[in-house]
Amino acid sequence: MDQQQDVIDEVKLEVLIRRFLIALNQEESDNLSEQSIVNEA
Amino acid sequence: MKPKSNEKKQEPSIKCLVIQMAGLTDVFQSLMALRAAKQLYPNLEVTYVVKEQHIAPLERIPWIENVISLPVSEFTLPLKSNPVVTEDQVKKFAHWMKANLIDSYDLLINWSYTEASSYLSTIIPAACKLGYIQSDDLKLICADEWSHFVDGVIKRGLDQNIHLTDVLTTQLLTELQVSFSDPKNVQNESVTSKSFFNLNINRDQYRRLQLDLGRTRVVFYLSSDSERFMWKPKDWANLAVDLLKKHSDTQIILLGESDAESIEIEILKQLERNNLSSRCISVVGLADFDLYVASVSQSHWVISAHLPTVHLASVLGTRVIQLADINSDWVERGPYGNSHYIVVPKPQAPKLDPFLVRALWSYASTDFKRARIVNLRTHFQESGIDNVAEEALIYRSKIRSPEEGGGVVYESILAEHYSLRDWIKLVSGQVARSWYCGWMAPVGQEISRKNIHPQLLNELRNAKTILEQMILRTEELVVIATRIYDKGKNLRSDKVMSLSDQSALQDIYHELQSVELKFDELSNRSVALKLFSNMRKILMHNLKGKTLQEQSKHAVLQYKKLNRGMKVYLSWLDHTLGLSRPMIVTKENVIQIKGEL
Repeated sequence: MDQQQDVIDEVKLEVLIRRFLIALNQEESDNLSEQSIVNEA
Repeated sequence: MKPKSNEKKQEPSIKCLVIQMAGLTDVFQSLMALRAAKQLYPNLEVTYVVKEQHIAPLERIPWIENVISLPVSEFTLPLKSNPVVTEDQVKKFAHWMKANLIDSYDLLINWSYTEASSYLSTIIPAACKLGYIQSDDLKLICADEWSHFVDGVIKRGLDQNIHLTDVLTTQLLTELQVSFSDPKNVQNESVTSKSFFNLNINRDQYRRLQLDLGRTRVVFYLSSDSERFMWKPKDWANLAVDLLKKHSDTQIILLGESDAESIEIEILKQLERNNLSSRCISVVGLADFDLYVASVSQSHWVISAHLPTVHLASVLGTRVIQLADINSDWVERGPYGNSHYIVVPKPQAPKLDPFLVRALWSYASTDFKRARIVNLRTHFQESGIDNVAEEALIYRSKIRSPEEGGGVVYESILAEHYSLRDWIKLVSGQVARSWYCGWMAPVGQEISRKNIHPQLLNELRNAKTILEQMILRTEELVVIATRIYDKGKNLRSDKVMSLSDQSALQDIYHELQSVELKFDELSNRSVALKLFSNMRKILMHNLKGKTLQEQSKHAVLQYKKLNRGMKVYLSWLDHTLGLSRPMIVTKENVIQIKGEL
């Protein structure tokens, strides 16, 4: 467990959202998004 | 006197957010774990975030309070032409979050285990988190200990035998117990149910199914997954014809997406030729989610290589014969529950024989009464298949009793000897239990003398010699990390220090790195020990603490943990090697041979 109640400041939030969208797009393009936990090896 | 209230004190709700951004197989598996948790914690209030294309199952579950569709294509489409994220896109996503999510959750479970999901789970505030998250310095880390195992072992394809449904269930229940409360006492309530989903199906659709309720109904879910063990449409057709010919009390229901039409056509053609068409119905390419679930739930069996259907059948309590290939992850992803079967063609076999699958089904569908009379090998011989042990591996699922550790296990019902991989799977699973459940099966459980082969013993002897050296290395690592901790204690700052302190610290770091390198080199000498170098890397990557002192203190604990796991492994090695020693034969076991010498 990780106690993660920290409030994220706006600058960091924006960075996280940008990275999320880029990673999501990448996973979709690589067709990785449908893969399950154990198919990666 | 204050009157006694008859009302029971209402437990406060635990607001829980589940993020699952993978496919349907993962959705179904997560539902089993969530259902088990919900039975023990009725105050769990579940919000489930899922990709838009997989929302159907979630919308049909009455005990999930909120379902949020993540419109992936809407967010990613603009990035196809221009990979730079604009301010508008950021605002749009922030708006989506605000409209769909509350300010904070008590528990966030990221069961996606992808990089993208790690950002999402970091953005959303929650008191406790499970799964992948991002650290303050934007490094992908695991928020909990089970996720170390998922990351270091399961995702990297190392052998272990804990089913993913059990991993997720234990991970969630442990967190609920540690961070919230003890569970409500529920006695053996089943997680699976024919009515797991509230279906929206009308009479016309149901009529289209034309189920013959007087017969044993078998679903064939047709998909390109069967090409992995070289099945062509003709093989499916052979299976269908053989099954309907040999079992006049059966009906086959064909399911599949429209790309399975070539298989469907071949099956229907062969059944027509053999005058068996009346006992087969096909809804290939026609079934929506409701009809798909209704077909599986109203059938007795599913035969398929299609993982989402295998898991749907598990959730619904329909028995399964999973057709798997040797490289698939059936140990973690096989059908969950009792008395399902998995058939895996051996590497040397050209392909899975459809007649073998039919014979297996015939045995499995009558095994409760037949097992007492005839074993599987004899059954195959009677069915004209003499060399089944050379062709395929066959496993049957069993839910262990709580005393045996619980969870699903797949028992080989043909193989006589353990391979090294079988042994590693079993013992790595026990090491994980000792780390994360605080419980381990008695050493030697599920290993018997008759499963042990001289070749396995040789490999284990080799592993034992190496492991003993690795245990010594972890003891050195504990000492070195303790020295770093002591050094950190005397420093005023981690960043500003004297040159002599800096140099002394560097020396200790080099020493630590050198021992870690030796540890990894030893681990790489035996496939049986790869678990420990992988886990060492994961544990060190996920060190907690901001200061040198905090991190080195955590490192000491993690090296000790590694050391404990290795000692557990050693005890199983010793036990197995001990099984090969000669035993005193008791008088009762001596068979007297009559006759002249």
